[in-house]
Amino acid sequence: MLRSRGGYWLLLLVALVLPLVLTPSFFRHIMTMTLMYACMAQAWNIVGGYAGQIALGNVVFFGLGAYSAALGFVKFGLSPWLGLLIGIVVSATVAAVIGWASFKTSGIYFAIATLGIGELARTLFVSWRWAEGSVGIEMPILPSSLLNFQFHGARLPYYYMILGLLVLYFWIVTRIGNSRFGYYLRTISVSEIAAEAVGIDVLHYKMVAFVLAAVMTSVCGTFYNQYLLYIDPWSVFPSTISMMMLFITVFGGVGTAIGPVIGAAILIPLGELTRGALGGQGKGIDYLINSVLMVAITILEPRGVLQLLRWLSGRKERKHDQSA
Amino acid sequence: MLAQLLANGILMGSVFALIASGLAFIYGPLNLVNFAHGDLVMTSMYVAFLCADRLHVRIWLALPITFVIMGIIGLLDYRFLVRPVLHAPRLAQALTTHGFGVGLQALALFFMGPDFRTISNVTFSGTLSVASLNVGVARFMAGVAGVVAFALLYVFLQYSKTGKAVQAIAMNREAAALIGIDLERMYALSLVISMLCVGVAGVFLSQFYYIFPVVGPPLLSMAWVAMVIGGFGSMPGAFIGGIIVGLTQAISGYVMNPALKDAIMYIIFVGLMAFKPRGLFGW
Repeated sequence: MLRSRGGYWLLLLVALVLPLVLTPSFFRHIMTMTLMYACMAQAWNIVGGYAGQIALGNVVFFGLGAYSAALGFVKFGLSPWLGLLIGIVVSATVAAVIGWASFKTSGIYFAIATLGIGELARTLFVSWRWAEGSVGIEMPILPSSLLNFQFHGARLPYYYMILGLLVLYFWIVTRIGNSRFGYYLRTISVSEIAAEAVGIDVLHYKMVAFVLAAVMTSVCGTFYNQYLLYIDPWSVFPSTISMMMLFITVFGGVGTAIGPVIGAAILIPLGELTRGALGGQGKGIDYLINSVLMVAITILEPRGVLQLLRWLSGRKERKHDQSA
Repeated sequence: MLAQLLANGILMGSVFALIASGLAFIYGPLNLVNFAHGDLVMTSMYVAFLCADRLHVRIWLALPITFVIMGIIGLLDYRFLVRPVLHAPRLAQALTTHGFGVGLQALALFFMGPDFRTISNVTFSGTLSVASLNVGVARFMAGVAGVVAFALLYVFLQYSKTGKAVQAIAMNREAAALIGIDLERMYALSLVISMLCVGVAGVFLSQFYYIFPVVGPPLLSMAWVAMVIGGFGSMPGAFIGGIIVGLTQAISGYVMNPALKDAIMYIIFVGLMAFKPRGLFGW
């Protein structure tokens, strides 16, 4: 946690003011994406950080949220807000099915099952003619309004919407961290056997965490569809996004509320700026940087940048048994 | 037609099986999930490509060269990336190995570019015709290589002292240490053997498969599915699993939309997870 509650309010103030100061649309785009990834990482944090279940395919919920909104509007004329709800229901169902199928077995099966689901979704959507397959779906441009869930021109409302979402998610994760539910999750992540022994219904709580994460991610997917107004299977279902959620959370500080925010705030701008500066030469420098950071943070400081910040600010950290 | 499908499926499956065995060699003894495995196959494919393209050597020389390079990569990987996280939580292992994989992809992209490559002066070309079956020579040799490599591995595991030591570690790490098996050396050896599997698979694949920086992850997924089908911890299981994966791909590619080949694999995979997670031979 930061040194005082005041630190969080200051961060929020900065976030509120930043797009008014940094006006170029490129920067605003980076900031919006940073917030969106922070939201998704926060969602992953619940199932991966607090509950300790390595979910490697969360991008499937992102894609389902995006496609629910897109297909709902383009094929059925449904409002994107209704698409949002549909996406939530579909994602929750998929999460429930996957969870039921794999949570009864050891964690490694869950990890691979989720990896498979992510890939499966992409493969299916690529060859699904009705969903426009690889061609993707382009949303018709509507007048800017909250009802239409589209904003043009400066596109600032998108930024503030996603900021609001992040604040909500941050609040959710903080509440979970301080609640009985959070304690159960952390017990499960340390030792499922011990958790069962003290009477915690492990399967139930793992399912709740996973479904919650799925729902939270799905909302981000719908947002993405409305933000870009174009999606295709390769942009909303790639496994790189799943791994990004994981990477951002661990890099910032897994199992903490501020971790995903820190991680996203560092990694997303870094990636975007590197890609922008070193150009479309397609040389993969940003991948290289990511890969080095991934390995470095895991081997050198698995508790993430948050731990480094604490160390810098001189706070002695109480020794927790594990945090990653 | 069915015979043709079966032939193709088994041959390709043999290559998947070899890759899966390499993965099993790391999961069994080290209890490590190696997410870089597919990208390591990609690396050995590029090495083989460079051998053919720059050094103009035939596969018979490319194979040992690839072995040496992959072995070195394996040792470095073990010493600097794997050893620190051997006893760390799964999440740390996943992130480190994945990071290594992404790094390999980035290096491949940087040095070789994103274009799909093929070897122009392949050692194996042409088609074999037996009865009414037509099989590309390159694919046939790949299938044979897979079986031969696996047979050698199996003999090593079952009949050599070191091989039995590796099995012992896979079964019970602490007990193996107690009876005096040098864990460190066995870990490194397991990784190197895994790299040899990867090397063989990569070299033979490069004869007929497209080579590009992100060819790894789909191969990794197939290897995982093969391992789960065969059962975690079982080497013959991984091999049989690979054959099944190859057959399923061949048959489903013919029976339905080829783009859905992978989808069928994943559905089978999730189904297995729900109902028979131990797979065919797993513990």
